[in-house]
Amino acid sequence: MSLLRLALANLFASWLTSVVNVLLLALGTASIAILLLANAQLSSALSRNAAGIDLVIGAKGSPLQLVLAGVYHADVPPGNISSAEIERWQGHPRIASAIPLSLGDSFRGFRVIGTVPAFASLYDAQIADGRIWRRPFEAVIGSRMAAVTGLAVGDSFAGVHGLSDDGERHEESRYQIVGVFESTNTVLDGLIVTSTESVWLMHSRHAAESAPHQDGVASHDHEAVQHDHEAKAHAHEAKQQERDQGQLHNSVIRHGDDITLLLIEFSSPIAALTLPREINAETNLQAASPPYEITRLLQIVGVGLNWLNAFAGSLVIGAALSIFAALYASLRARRHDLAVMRCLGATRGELFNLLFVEGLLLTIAGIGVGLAFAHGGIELLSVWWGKGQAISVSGWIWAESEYVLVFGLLLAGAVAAMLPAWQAYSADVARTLSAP
Amino acid sequence: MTAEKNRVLQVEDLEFHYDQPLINIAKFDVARHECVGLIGPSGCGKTTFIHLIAGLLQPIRGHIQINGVDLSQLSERETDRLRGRYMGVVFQRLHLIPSVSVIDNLLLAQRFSRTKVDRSYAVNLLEELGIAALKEKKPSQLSQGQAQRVAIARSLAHRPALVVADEPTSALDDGNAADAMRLMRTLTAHADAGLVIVTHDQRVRREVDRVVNLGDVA
Repeated sequence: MSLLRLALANLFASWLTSVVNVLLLALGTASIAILLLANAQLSSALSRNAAGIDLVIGAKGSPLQLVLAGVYHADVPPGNISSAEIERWQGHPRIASAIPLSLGDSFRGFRVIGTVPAFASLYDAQIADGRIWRRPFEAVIGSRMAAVTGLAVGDSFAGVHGLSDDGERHEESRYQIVGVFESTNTVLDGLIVTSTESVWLMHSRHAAESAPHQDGVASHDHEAVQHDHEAKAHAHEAKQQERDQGQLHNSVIRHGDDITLLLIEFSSPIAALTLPREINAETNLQAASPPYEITRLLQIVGVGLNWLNAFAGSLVIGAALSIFAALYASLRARRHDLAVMRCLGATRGELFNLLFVEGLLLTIAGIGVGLAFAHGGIELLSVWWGKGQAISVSGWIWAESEYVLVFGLLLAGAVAAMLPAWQAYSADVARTLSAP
Repeated sequence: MTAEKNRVLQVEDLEFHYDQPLINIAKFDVARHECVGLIGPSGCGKTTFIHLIAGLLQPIRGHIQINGVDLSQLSERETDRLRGRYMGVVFQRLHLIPSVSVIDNLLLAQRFSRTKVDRSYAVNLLEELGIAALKEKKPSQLSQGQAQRVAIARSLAHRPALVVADEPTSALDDGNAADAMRLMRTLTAHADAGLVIVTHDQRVRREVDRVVNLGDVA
C-alpha cells in the first residue's frame, strides 16, 4: 500500500471535511480564474480588433469615443470629415494606408460600414460564401450577423438610421447580400460591409426624398452632423446607372462627400511620435491612438477589477487556512495512528510526506474543481449568450496567467500543509502512545 | 553459538528513568519460538520497557540487541527501519489504522517493514485467525475480538523476529483471552519468532514458557 493510497484513504475517511475544504478552495480558484479568463479574452479581443490600426482620424471630440466608434463599433462617432482628407493622408510619407469608414445605418443592431475592400484585410477576412461587393448596395455580411439573422447570399434587407431598430427605414434602397465573411473572431463578424458609395447614395436619395419636408437637410444616426446632400444627390443619381452597369472600383473615392473617419496604418514607428501631434495641433481633425485609449479605459475599469481580485484572493487565503485547520485537526485526531505507523517502521520523513501529500491532494482537487467551475461556467455562459455578442468568450481557452494562479495556489496549499506535516514529523511517539 | 543466534532479544545492564529510576535490568533474553511473560505491578515500567525495546526511547545506560543488532549503534532512521523489519507489536488498545481495510492494515505493516508486500501471506494469516471474510471491512466494523485478531495478524504480517504484545488480553473475556494467547503462540512459532507478552493478567501465566517479573531482573 503506497503513501498516496494511504493519504487518499485518510481523506476519504473524513470525506465531508475533505469535500468542504475542496469546495472552499475551488470557490476562490474559480473566482480568480474567471477574472483572469475574462481579462485575457477581453484584452485579446481588444488587441485583435485593433490589429493593423495605428491611428484613427476623425472629427474633433472625445478620442475614446472616436476609437470606440471606429475600431470597436461600440459607440457613435463624434462627427464627419471631408472625403478630401483621404487623399491628403494617403499621400502622407509616414502613412502606409488610410482606410475610409462611413457609418450611419444599421440593420437589427448590426452596423453598416461603407468602406473599401482593404477594410476586410485588416482582419484577414476571407469570403466564406459568395463574393466581395462590386456595385452600390451590394453588401457582405459578417458570420455572426449571418448566424443571428439567418440572412444569406441572395437575401436583401433595408437599413435603418442609427443603431437602433426603430430608426427611419431605407426601404427605397435595399442592400443585396452578395457575400458572407468567414468568422474572424473580431468586430467584422458583426458588421455589414459595403462600398463607401452605397452609404453616400443612400443618404443622397434620402436627402432628395426628404428635401421638401426638411429643407434638404438629412440627419445621421449620431445626430451631431447634418448633411446637405441635396445638390450632390443629382450627381449621384446621374452616375448611378453607369455604375450599376459595370464593376465599381470602390477604392476610388470621389471628392465632395463626407466620410466618418480614417483608419491609419503607419509606414514607420516614428510616425507614432509625430503624426498624432501634427494632426491634433495643425488641423481641425482629431487623431486617436487605439492602444492608448484602450489602455486608458482599462485603467479606469482596472480599479474595479483590482477589488474583485483582492476579494478572490481573500477567498483563496481563507481556503488555504481551512486546509491548514483541517489537516491540523486531523493530525490531532490521528496522532495515535501516526505513532502506530512509526512503530510499524515508518520514518519521520514518511509521516511528514503523508500529511504533506494529504494537503497537496486537497489543494490539487480544489484547484482542479475550481478551474473546471471557471472554464465550464464561462463556456455555459457563452452558450447561453449565444452568437449575438460583440466579444465572444470561450471556456476552452487557457489564459497564460492561469499558470501563475495554479503555481501560487499550489504554493499556498504546500505552505498550509507544511506545519501539520512538521508536527507529525516531530511527534514524540512514546509519549503519544502512553497518552490516553 | 547456536543459542546466541537463536536469541532475538538481548538486554544487558539497561537503565532508564524519568525523575526517579524506573527500569533497571541486568539481563533479559528471548529466543526464537520462546514465549516470555513479562509481569509486574502497574507503574513498574512495563510499557516503558516495550518502548525501549522498540527504540522509541533511548536508555540512560545499557544495550538492547534485536536479532543481533545493537540499537545504540543505529541512527533514528536505522532504528525505525530495524523496528519495522524485525519487530511486531500488538498494542493494548490495538490501534488499527481506521481509514483502511483489515487487509490494508496488514499490507501497511509489510510496506513500512520494507519487506516484499505479500498479499497472499497476509490473507493466509487472516485465514488462520478465522477472519479472512472480514479482510475488506474497516476496523470500525469489527467486534473487539475480531479487532484483536487483526492486531495479532498485523504484528506477524511482515514475518518479524520478535513480537511484543502489550496487555493483549486485558479487554477480553476468559474464552477470548485463551484463544488470543493460543493463536499468538502458534503463529509466532510458525513464523519462527520470539514472543514477549507484557501483562499483569494472571490468566497469561499459564500460557507462556516462562514468566519474568520486571521487579526481579535488576
